[in-house]
Amino acid sequence: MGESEGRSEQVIQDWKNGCLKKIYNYIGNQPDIASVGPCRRDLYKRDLYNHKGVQMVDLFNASRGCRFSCYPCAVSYLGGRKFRPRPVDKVVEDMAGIDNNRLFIVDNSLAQDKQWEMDLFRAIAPLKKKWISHTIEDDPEVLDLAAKAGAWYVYQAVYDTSDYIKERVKRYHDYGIGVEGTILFGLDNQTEDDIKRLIDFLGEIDLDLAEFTIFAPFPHTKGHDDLLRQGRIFDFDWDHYNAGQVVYQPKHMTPEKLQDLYEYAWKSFYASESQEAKMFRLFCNVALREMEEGTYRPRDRRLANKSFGRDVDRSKRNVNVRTESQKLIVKNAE
Amino acid sequence: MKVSPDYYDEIFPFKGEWDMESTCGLKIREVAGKTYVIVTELYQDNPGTSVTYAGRKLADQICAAKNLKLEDIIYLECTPNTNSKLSFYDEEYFQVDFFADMQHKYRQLTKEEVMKILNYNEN
Ligand code: SF4
Repeated sequence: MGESEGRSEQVIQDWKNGCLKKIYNYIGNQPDIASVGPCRRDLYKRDLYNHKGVQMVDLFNASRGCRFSCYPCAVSYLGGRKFRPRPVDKVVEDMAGIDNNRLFIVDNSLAQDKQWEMDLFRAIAPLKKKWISHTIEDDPEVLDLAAKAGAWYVYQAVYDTSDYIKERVKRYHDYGIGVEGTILFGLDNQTEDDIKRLIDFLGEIDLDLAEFTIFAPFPHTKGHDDLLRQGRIFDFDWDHYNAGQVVYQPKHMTPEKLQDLYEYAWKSFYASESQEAKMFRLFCNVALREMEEGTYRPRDRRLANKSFGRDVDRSKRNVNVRTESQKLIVKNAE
Repeated sequence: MKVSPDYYDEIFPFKGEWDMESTCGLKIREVAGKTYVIVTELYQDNPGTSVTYAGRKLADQICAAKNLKLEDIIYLECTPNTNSKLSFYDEEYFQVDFFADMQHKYRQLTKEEVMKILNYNEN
């Protein structure tokens, strides 16, 4: 349990010596972040992370831990309540070795140490990777550096209908960075009307994608402790803690109503344009940038009829109308 | 989200879930012949398990350290006010009955009850 750098050797040695312990407990005892090295990406079966010939993003960690303690989030408990950025030179070395131009920097939030964040963006810019990440610092200088470093799109929480959120999304777009809104339903400060207003608001702020979740009272969050004490958790089956199912009694509505609003949000956001079509639009944006920079890799025709290792059903073709730039991408890809 | 030291008389270190190093605020009050043990969640200053999640495990460690019997004490959990704009971080006190079923394990105290315990004067 916990982070494995510098520890897995012991586990393997114990296994070889036939004295494997039931638990190796390193939780709360994180290794030196500088010891986090490149992963063995050569072990990937890359063909299985491929959709119709397009290689999926590689996941990447530039830091661990989180100094915030948001109400519904267990990350700061699991990864430690301290932000632990990796040394920038190590990040660059690691990133440069990845045989993929598209990454997902899965760090919980890059917006935790502005100087490190700016140093990181300056250092990775020459690699010409394109990447997805969680929130970036809301500062013109940082956003500019992020865009130059290859920020493709970011996940941004949309928690209310304020001008601040509207402008935050616009500021990302001003720098050419796409936005996937993450919208959490079911906190105690939300009524049914608040959720409906929030869903309507999404149509006004020009999000590129949206992802909806239902509040799940995960252990080691304040949300869990509050609901537990109030006797409001009715489902303790961990399989249902998937952030798409209601496992507790919401404050202002029935569990069924909250579930309905969640389903309605997905349907309404993607009513005029499917999730696949919106994703394709984002894909086109990044492909165009790559073409300009000479880093674009055409899709692997060998895998054109495969999706994550399975055969593609070509009878269900996507008939969305494509723009001229999208047609150019498709042409270049083929 | 700094917790005011007014909430506790001492910081109590304890072993949380998976023996994780954890801390809470602790106050012990004698009120009308009863022993009240008040544990306060320290949020960011608690590197490990919350007082609520640790529950009985924490209560047992306090009893062992302070030479108390769990059956003889009244055990209160406090989530302190942290001056956050979010109502989720308002002050609350819950009495915990470790011998009751889940439905009856926690009872929220009224402001008056809390004041009575905290302001009790032996004389
Ligand atoms: S939601 Fe993000 S910023 Fe908040 S505690 Fe979790 S990882 Fe940190």
